[in-house]
Amino acid sequence: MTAGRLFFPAEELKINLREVASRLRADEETAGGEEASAALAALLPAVCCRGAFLRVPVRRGEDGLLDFGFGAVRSFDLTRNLSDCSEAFLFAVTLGAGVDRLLLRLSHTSPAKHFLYDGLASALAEAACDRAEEAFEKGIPCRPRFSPGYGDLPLSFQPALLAALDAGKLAGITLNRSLLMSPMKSITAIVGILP
Amino acid sequence: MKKDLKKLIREKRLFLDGATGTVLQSLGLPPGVAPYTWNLTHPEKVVALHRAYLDAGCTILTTNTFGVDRNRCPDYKEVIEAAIACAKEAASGREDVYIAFDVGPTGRLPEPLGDLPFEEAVSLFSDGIRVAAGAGADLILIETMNDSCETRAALLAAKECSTLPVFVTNVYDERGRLMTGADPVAMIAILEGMGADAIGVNCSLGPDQMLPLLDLFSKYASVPILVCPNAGLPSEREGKTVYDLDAEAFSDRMRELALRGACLLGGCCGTTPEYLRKTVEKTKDLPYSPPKEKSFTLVSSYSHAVEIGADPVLIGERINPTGKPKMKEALRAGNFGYLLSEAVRQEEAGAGILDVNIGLPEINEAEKMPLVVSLLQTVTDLPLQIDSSSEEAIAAALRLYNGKALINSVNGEKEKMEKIFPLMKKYGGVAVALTMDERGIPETAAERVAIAQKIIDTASRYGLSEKDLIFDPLALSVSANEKSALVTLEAVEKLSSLGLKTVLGVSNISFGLPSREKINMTFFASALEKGLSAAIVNPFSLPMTDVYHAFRLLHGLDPACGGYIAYAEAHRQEVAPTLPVPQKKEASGTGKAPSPADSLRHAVVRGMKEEAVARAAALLSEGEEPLAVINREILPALNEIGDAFEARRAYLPQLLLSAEAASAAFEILKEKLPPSDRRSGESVLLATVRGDIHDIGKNIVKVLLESYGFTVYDLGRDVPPEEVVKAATEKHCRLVGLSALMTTTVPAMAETVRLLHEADPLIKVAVGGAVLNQEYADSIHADFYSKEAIDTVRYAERFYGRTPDGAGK
Repeated sequence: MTAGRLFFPAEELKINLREVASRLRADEETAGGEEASAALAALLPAVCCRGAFLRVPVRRGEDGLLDFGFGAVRSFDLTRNLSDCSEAFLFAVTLGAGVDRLLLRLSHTSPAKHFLYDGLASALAEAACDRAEEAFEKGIPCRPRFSPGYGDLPLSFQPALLAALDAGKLAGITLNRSLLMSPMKSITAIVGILP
Repeated sequence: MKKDLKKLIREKRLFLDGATGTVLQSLGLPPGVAPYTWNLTHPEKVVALHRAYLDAGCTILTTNTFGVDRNRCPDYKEVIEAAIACAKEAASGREDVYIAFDVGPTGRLPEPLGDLPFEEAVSLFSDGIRVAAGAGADLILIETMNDSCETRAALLAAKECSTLPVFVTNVYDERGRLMTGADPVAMIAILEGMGADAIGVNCSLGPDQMLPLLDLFSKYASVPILVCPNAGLPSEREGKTVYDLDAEAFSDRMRELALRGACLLGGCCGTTPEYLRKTVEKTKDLPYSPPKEKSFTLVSSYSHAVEIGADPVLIGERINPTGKPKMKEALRAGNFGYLLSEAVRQEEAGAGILDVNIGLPEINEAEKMPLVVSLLQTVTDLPLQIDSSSEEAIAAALRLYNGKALINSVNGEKEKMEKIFPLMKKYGGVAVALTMDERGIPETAAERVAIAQKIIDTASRYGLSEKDLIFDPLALSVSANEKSALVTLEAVEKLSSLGLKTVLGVSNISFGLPSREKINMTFFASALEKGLSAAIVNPFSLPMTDVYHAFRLLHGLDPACGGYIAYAEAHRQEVAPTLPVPQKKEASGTGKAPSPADSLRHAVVRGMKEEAVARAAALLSEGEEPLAVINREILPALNEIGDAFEARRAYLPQLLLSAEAASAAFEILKEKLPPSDRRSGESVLLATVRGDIHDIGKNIVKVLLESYGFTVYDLGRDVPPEEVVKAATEKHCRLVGLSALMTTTVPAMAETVRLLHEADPLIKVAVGGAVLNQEYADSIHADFYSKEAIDTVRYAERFYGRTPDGAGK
């Protein structure tokens, strides 16, 4: 498989308790506690998880330019992450606009719940990445995913990435003027394929 | 001379073309190159594309302009003119061919989910549409739209910038909804309300998956239905996307769609002239009947429609300052948080629509109504009823409202109708029509019905019909006239028997009498029996909701009694014995003494908001002094959870839940505090700086400050420096908290700090956020760096001299 769309029922997203704890700046007991569990149960029905992926060549040009065919970028950290890789997967996943609507509502009605739900949603988005990688990697050995905004990989790479994935059409992901994604709980990443 | 397309689509089946990109790629368009560039560089290929579809039997050609707007394509004028010239060249000499200017999404999401302001979206679409209309397009095709707000912006632009027919299709997903949530019936209500000439579905799905959507369109739509499916579902083969239906299979399914009510047929991704040729062959001789005019009265939000007339609807009346001092105060202060929480509470109490009235002499409704409406749409997905005596306010709110609103109100006065009906025609909407006119309210039911008829006649001259109106035959107090209820009930009955929809402001009936709810509930039940379609009521009034749920049950409107049983069970708890009252004890204030499990203090420590409110209210009703309750229960509770937080025995989620519980209890206690004790002068202004849309950190600080009794002026997120300065000056607030989460927005923070200090050297600025540290804070001359949210609270306490070691003012 070299390209495709992704769609996962919310129940297939396996949330990582340590991830939740770190997002909530709490211990794992709190992260898996009564309040957090109730919040997660209320959050899941709002999730509509979709995305897209694409397999691309990785070429190294002059002075550190990484060329993926659809576009090129200069990033020391990504270059290091992709060392030895001649191919990579790109992907984008999102939890959908329903989660944004829920968070927006909570931001006006309950800051405490807003914080709790936001942390859980971020952890769910990471879970969506895990699920997505499982779907398209199919056991191919890969490097850890690397997203724009990590290290020195600039957010300005987002437009080219999303366009290559056709993420607007396939997953409803758009960029705002600060190059942040809508829906908010969306992630794009590059995954180096090990030789 | 071409035939009038709006008439033609009601007479015969017309065919749109299929995919553009797919065909151009087969003609040599390299991947990654936007198809629209070929209008200028390879016009002969674009002409060939159109000719191929004409040869297939299509007579509506869509221009190669998907994705063209002034943001993404600086030479959009030339591109659009060239695209239309290509289509014209292909169609030259053919009077039966129509050129559709193709309008796709902007690629940005409108507010509030995204950052594209509604009017900017309208302007982006308007620019292209003006050029296309000038260049000779025959119609506008708005397609592949996956957001209701953006669809509205495009349709509004089409209507404002041309007189051409407009067709609109949306993309629905496997849930049968747009990406941002709207279902087909909501979209039908919105699009027909705004005057789209044909509506339907395109892209994303194959013809099979479109069948259930088509059935909804057939049931609810009055205008011809347009379907442009993909060539089935996509899969990937040798690195290319392929669709699972070939031309033969696709056209068989298209025949099925035509038999089920699809009027205009075309194709989307993966379809080619061959797909359309076979579709035309198999469907052109099928009998054709456009949809009949439907009589559903529909209002909608951005997610769903509410039908008025099938099942009684409760319209919540609580967002209205009349007789509600707290709402008045909130509106005057611009404290919309209270208003939003009332919206949520009404939704939870079972309201189906929310009335929105912000009429106060000192409020400019035309300015504030759109703001309030868009804020409400961030917390509730219920349709709204825009309630104002100002037509300017109604116009401004309708323009922005994401849905098809209910309007309160119009009446038989000529002047009123002349103002309201054109707004309904332009923006869509259903109006509450009061059966009164220049001569006042008639005494008899027959005369009120006559006014209703007059209103319908006038509405029809504006192209509106009775389904766009809900008649209010006016409940007047029985204390003034003992026959008034009978007249109103008779009018409801007469109007209902004519097939008209009705609504009443029920509680007016008991004005001036004691124990009003007893009268209201009986009158409400009587009116429902006479056929009342909707009632404007207080959804927190249990007698009213009792009647509502019992009526639905008794009239077979509640399958398996599910609604009633859920309602009864939810309210069983409310009549349970009142909560045990906490024992009085000496104020310790140390925060060390254990709190009894039933105390207010315990409720706050555990973050139980409802319990905290109930216990605060119980203490007040016992005659306790509010200040004593704050000092004995709330402050020790906050200290207890604060200590636990600092010792890492509790974490941020618990701290926040406690803070919210404390704030809610404070609200109740504050009302009973003598003004001198209210500490209302102790205020903090908060903002997330310009360019930053992250507001969780700021909101956390806000709730903590409020829980400690500070007044917080929250300016929101993405706030320009000048606005922060202006607000600080206006509110005489010398403590400002700024938040920034992204490195890119720290310069905006630095500028805000500088301007604040320039404006008033006594202003202190606390800064916080993920990207900051002490060093950074010092370098931008902030007065305080808040590492944790609670640090800001401690700083505010020192600033206002609440602690002995504090600097004070």
